[in-house]
Amino acid sequence: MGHRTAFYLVFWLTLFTPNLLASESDSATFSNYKITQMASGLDSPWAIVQLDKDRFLVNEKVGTMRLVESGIISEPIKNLPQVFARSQGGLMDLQLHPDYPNNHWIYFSYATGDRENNALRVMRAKLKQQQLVEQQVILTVSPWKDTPVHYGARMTFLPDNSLLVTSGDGFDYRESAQKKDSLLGKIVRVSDDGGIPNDNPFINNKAVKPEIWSLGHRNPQGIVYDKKRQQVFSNEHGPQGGDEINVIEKGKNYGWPIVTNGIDYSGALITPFKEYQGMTQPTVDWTPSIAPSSLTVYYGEMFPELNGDLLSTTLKSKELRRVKLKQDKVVLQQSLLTEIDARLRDVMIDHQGAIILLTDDGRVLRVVRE
Amino acid sequence: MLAVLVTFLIASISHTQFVLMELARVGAEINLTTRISASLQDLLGFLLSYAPVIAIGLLLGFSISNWVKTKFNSDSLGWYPIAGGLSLLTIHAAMYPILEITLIAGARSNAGLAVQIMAGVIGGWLFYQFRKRALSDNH
Repeated sequence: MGHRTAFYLVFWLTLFTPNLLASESDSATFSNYKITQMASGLDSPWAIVQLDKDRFLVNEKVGTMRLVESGIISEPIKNLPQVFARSQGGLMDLQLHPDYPNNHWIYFSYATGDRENNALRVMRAKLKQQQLVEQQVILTVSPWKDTPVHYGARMTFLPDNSLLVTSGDGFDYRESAQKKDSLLGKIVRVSDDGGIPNDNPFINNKAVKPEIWSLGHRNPQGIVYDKKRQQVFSNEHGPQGGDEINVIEKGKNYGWPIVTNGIDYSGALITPFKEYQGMTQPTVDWTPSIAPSSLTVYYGEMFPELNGDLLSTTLKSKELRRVKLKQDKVVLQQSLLTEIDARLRDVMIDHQGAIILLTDDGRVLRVVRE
Repeated sequence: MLAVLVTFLIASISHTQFVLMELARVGAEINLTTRISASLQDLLGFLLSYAPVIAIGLLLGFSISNWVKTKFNSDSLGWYPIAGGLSLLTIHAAMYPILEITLIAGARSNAGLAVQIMAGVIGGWLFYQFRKRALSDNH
């Protein structure tokens, strides 16, 4: 390399490096925002969706569904199915059908049954005059179980309008996450009317539950379809350590409980393995645990610096955890909104690109650009 | 002290084997080295959780047993193995309602719970042997 070439190389590097650094630094910054309170006094709100410009629908874990409009919380929506509300179970996720403006289908997940015999169920219904009508059961997870914990219960729609539902392992039944004749510890896929899509990965194997989309999950409580990347992301609670974000692919095994970076609450091992042949490693591992409770991917004009970033609410670390990816590799993680100082239960992006959060102490918060 | 130690060793090692057995049932291949290393790690992992609970449980169980023995004027020392077994059963029964789950995974099955109780019985039997020796030395 001649001196002249070397000079120009150094010159151009000097010229552009600060700009490159500046652009990385700009995209890392999340500031100039303010947090406003849309509502308070809800009882363990678990999920929220936006019905139209001013109206939101909220599920309370205790088994009630309410409208939130201009800061006013409605009376409970009538005609809900019987919900088994105990411990971690109750009325849980909410999703609108991708064609909701035309067909008005609302999907919700809940625990059904009793202490000795309960299961995760998904129903769809329409909201008319503060009542749920035209109710249809879309999915009931089997086998039923006798623990009121680890339901999973989050949902997301795929572009073909099929529905992915996360199902937890029921805690005492953790090995069921590896059993293909059980829907515990799985992500399952059903069509929007509850049928089984004929391109599900195990549809032709009679020994396998045909609803299974992926297996080896513990308690996945966040799932989102990223329309731009055309990928499904899910986060899940590990035990002590081993919380994860996974890129969910059809038919893959995510390892629980044969593989985890966490240990049991008692201090004992869950498994001797951190890797195992044929089992997919997480994209993100959080050890120690932060307890991720929901997941979305940000696309919007209000916070362009967050575009494409995964946002997980957390219970233990009380934050909105931002994960920036480049080609499935994590390039940045940040703890956002820790000043709220509350267990955050759900996150969604509203029609204006604002970040809507639910807190376990009953608030609906809206984060907007200042 | 030895009774507590032996109970803890049996309870912890059997817990590990039941957990590994369940993993093997769903396809994990576990060799002897992994089995031994997992057992050792669990002994360490339980040191600040299950071990003190067992110690307190047995202490209470043996104390109650002693009181019952005095109350009914019984010379039999066979109360102690029963007390040891009941202590372990009580520990597991008392932990369950905390979250309505089984906190010691090796005790999820009836067989797993039975081995935990047996660990208490063996601890009680050891305590009985020491008491017997101590009493005969005094006489």
